[in-house]
Amino acid sequence: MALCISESCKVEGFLSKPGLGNGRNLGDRQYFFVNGRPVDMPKIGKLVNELYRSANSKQYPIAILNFTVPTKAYDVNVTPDKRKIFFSEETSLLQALREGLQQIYSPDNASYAVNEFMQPSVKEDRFEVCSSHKKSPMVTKPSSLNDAIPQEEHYTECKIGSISRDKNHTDRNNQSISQNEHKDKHATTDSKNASESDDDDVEEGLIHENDGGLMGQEFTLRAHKTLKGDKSGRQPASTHSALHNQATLVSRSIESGGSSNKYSSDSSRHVQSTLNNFVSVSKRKRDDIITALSEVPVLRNHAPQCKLKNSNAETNDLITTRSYLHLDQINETSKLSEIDNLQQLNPDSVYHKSVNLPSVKDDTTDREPNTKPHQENKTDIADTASVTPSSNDLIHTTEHVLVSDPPIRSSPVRLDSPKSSGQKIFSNMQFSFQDLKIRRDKRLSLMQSSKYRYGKANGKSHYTAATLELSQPEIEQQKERVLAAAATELERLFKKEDFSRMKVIGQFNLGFIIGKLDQDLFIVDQHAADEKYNFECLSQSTILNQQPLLRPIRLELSPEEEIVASIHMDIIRKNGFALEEDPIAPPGCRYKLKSVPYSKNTMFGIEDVKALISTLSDGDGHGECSIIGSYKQDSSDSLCPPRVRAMLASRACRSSIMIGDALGRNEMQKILDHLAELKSPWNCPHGRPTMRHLVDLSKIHKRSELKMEM
Amino acid sequence: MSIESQIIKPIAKGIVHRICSGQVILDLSSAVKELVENSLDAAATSIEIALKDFGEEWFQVIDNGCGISPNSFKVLALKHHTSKLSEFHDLQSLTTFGFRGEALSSLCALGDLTIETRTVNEPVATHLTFNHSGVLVAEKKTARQIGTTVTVKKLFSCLPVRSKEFKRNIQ
Repeated sequence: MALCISESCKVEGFLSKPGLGNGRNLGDRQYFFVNGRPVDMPKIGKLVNELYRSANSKQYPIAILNFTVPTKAYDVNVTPDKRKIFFSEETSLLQALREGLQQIYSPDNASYAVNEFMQPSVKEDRFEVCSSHKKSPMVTKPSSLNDAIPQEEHYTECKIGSISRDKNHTDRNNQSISQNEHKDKHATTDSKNASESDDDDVEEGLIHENDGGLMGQEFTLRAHKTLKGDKSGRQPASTHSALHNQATLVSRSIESGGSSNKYSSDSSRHVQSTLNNFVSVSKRKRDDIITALSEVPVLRNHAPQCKLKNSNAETNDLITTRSYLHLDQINETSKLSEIDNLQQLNPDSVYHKSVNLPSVKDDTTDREPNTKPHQENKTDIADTASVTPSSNDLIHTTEHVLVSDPPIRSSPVRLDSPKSSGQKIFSNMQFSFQDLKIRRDKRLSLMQSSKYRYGKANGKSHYTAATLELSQPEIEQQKERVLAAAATELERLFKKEDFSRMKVIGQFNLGFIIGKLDQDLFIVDQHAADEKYNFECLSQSTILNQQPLLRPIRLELSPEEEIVASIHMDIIRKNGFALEEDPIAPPGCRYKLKSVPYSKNTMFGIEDVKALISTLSDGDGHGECSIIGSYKQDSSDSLCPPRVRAMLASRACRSSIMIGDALGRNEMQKILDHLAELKSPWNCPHGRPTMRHLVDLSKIHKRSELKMEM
Repeated sequence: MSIESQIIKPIAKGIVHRICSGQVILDLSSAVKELVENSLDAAATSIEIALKDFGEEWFQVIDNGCGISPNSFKVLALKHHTSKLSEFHDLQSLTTFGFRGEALSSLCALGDLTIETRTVNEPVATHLTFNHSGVLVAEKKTARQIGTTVTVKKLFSCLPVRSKEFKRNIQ
């Protein structure tokens, strides 16, 4: 929510958050009002778009702004349809708005979404995997998996950042499918891209599998794919990137006899799940919810979270599992279900986490966890309905998948070692049940992730897209509370100075630095970080030499551009071009280019100076003298032709630490410290993000405490 | 063609009316916007918009605002008549959405306008029919809650180009 106050005028309303995926590909859905009257304000629109481009260069923001201006200061009577307005203080209004927006979109902070930690508790007897699905305004047909125990894990893949809307891939391993009671839609890889998804799709694929090898076990595989389309019927359709979460739960119930062969089969399944970074960016807007403009890139954290539920196979044996279900789901068998985090849809939260409701698994009886998200009409929150009457296990594992350019394959997060066999391990977090209770009001979709398998130490990271489940119809008041709680859980506001505070834990895969800050683990791309540092150093220190031309070249410019050039002659000169004016010549051919800059091997020519002049004239069109483009904010403040920037970027890239270089602790710390000094350390000059949140250690500790209790 | 036939003379009032009306009401959305703004100025808490054939056949805006009092019936759809502005400098301190006094009169010129209204002081509502120049031609009593219903039939029927445009973009 934008609220800026400038003298007696106030602006309030909604603006898209910074960060990719939060905008729209078209400039529609920008509405401006003056004292409640809808008006067309092209200048304001241009200003907003320009500033938004610094935060998200590929998309347009959604903007709904109401200007509260005293009635004496504007004239409505301009056109018969009253849509055009003249202001008496237009420039100051624009200036104040620009300052306000700049603060909001400033690159000083970045907020990161917190990953859910997935805990692999391994119980050899049973694993429950819950698939998560996301709900938001989607309707999911609850599938009651009566007899299935989720078996496979599906990972949704989402590309971060570069992908604007949701793009989710679900890999699904389909194994034998026994019964599907509901209509499962198997989501094949789909990326829902930018196309404005107006429909919410929620797909739940349930795959039931019967594992023949195991006796009496059934596996239900639940793959959920939820795509969230943007939705608000009304107004601004906030773009939602579809969240995709998908987690498949594999739950297995094993007879107490415990067959370890299960693991092997599991592993094969797991093999398929790749670690995909999954980023779901969802932006939801609600009328009554104000979107907070957070700072620039919002990174998703992912904390793989895995809740394994072990439930006893035998019905009589179910004591060990306790189910924490939504209030209404309580089954007689004690199944432990926990709902893990919750993510909520905050107005500012960009990510949806899906929480899985664990599917119930039962060897003989099929109990399925049902997560039935209700479809929510306009809000982005979905309710989860409860589940099957019989025991429902809710297992939540949230997976987040972060994608950086190369998907991170390792799972740094497997923290828990599998419990010793023979025990029923419940990694269910009790505390989260309380959280759950607190969050009952939140309606969110849950997404569930899979769990780890014991013994599979391969770098599979499970990422859960955390989705939050929603409890049943909630009380409105609590919702906000819950949303706020979820927000803090989900995002971490990260300031540049924090980089110097971060402590290096180690290097990962010869490509990433794992750092610890307070209670969070972050993963930093060593090449991107170093490249950004080198880039900023170079852009400040590179001196372009001037090469005088033997024969000055006459520039053909439009009269308007000539005037612009004469106004901004100093900037042109600073960039290395020298223009000589020929007053006798007719307008349009007045300037001659006398010298051009060059740097090492790169020469600049006429096109560059023309590009420079045209950018200057664009800036003047707004009435502003400085142009702030997205790239500029990363580099030094001076205006320069795009080729210069590209040249600096490639120089920086080539001279930086590469992926594959082994680094010592000192070197890694130096990289992090360098990041703290940069103007905008969040992305490398080519656009790759430098850092992502990995896991929140406090959750792990909580979990392990819980475990101790058991 | 001789010069004499090109003397400058005033345009007939009816024609002026139709020309200017076309400027005020550009398309269906501006017509509906004007009526909704009128409802908002009447402090309505519930506004309903009904369209038949996407507005081509008729459209209605129904509200539960304060209604129109009988002594305004005759002048309701006349050009430049409004209750929302009395002096020019009132423009500086406008609190209502409407102030020009042109919307209803323009709608009359461009389509068939009928209004049903009832204020809190009246026991029954009145149904008003207007002709194309904004003159009230019929008035009869009818039943209604407090508020106003404005119905416009066959918008743009006399302007062929605009009507085609309207039909084309109707969805």
